[in-house]
Amino acid sequence: MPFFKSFVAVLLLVTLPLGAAQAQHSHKPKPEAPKHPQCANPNPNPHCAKVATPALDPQGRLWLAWEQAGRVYVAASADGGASFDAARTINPERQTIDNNGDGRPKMAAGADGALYVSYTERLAKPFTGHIRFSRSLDGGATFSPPAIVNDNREEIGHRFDTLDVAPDGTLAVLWIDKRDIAPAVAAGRPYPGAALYLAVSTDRGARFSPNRKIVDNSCECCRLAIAHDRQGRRALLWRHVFGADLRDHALTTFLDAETAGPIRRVSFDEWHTDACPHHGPALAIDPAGVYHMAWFDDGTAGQGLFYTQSHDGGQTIGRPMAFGDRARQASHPALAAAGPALWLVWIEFDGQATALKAMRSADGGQSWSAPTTAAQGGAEADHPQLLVRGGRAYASWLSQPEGYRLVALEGRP
Amino acid sequence: MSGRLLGALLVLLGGLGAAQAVDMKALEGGDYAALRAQRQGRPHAIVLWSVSCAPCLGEMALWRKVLGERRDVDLVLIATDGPEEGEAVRRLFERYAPSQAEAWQFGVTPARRLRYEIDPGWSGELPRAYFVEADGRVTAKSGTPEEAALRAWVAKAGGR
Repeated sequence: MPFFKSFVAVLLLVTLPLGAAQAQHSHKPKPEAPKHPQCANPNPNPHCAKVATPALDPQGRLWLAWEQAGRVYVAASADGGASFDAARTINPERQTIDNNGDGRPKMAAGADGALYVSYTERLAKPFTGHIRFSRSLDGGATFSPPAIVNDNREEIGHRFDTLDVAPDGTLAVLWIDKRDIAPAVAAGRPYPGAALYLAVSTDRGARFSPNRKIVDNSCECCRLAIAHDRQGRRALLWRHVFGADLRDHALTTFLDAETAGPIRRVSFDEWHTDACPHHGPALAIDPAGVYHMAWFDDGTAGQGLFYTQSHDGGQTIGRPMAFGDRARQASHPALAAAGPALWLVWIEFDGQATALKAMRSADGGQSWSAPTTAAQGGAEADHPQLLVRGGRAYASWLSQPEGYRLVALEGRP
Repeated sequence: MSGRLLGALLVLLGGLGAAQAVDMKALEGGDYAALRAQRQGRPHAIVLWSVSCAPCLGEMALWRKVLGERRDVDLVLIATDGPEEGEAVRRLFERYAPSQAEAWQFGVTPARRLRYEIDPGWSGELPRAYFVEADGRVTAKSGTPEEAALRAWVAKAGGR
């Protein structure tokens, strides 16, 4: 017994100064920010997630992927997000997982019912990770053990993964990859940013093609935006590093599943910085083939949120329209074409509460309704995502203490 | 008996650990305004960083190089990572930051609220720095400052 007590004392004394300095320096009581009531229960629950990514399967079920305590979970809702079935665990062993607005677990569904999940497992060194992939071919009853997609296995950055399922069922994983930096620097060449890579699977994720580079010098820390044009080709919008430190946006439409087409700069806000913006863009292509883009910049020529469109796949770009209340930190836009309507959502924060803002265009983005508040949440709020089902748009949004909500946008002005 | 001996050893060990551990304070609602008010009339620099921001480590290392042994410059480093990243924040701070800087990291108050309290006009990009003059004028800088700019600031703001 004395030995046991001493042992506990050892643990306490050795770990306290290293691990609990934060608690030691509490100079006032610090109540945890309020969480959704169901979070009192430690079981995995999407209402308790920090961020959650939605997907709709062909049966109309709403799926969510989220991280909790080192595990990625998915669960399905048959009632539009009112209730979810039991969570499935994607990674049996706990891992450290990127779990924030721009770097989050992803989920996608194929038209054939296959379900795909990807996430970034963080490694010991800062800013490093592996891209993990798991799938379910039995409607979500079971998921495969998460495999590593990046064929470069150095302890470097392979992060900010995105899933893409093309209309023909071709699956791709795209991500931000730092494998080209060290060789460039060793050869005496500066390498701003990182590279975009992808791997393609034509057999529902059983095997992937060798990793292939899409482009050098992307931003290192912003989500990628993907949409498909009328021919089913993948269009990709991302924050790029032009020259040494100019972080504006670039667009390409792929020639085939693996080959990027011409790369065009589409935003001209002149944001010169080597900072990590963590503000990725949004992209949608409407049934007429018009590209719609929204992004955040803080450059010398443009600050805040902007929307623009292109009728020729990015060769010519419309004049950007500023939107959102800059004084309320308007940020993190999402775009979707739903039937004849185009929806733009984003969030604003007034110092206490977060508002989910929405506006609608009935004329392909030429004119927009006044912004409305589609939902209100606490200070802890996720980036909104948009889903389209049956020609109607829904905002998928998570905030605390409200929890997860699927907000129907139709019926709004 | 041996328990007491062990205990003494442990206190010693703990003491050693404490001597090296950074004095990392948790930033909660109102703390930022308080730390600014405390410095009213005196030049100071506030640098925001995160364990998820690679250039931030470069900026901290640059401050360490520029400050050297100087203790007459008032520098506050705030990590925007919450308590769940406590260990990583501490490790990276100890590895890169000038040890004379005052060290804070975000606490349990929602990060968005803390960011808003710091500067409603800041979009969250990192690194982010505020250089505050004695007369209260503030220059905000996103991205890593030039070494020459830091040296100029240190020359001007030193002597606290």
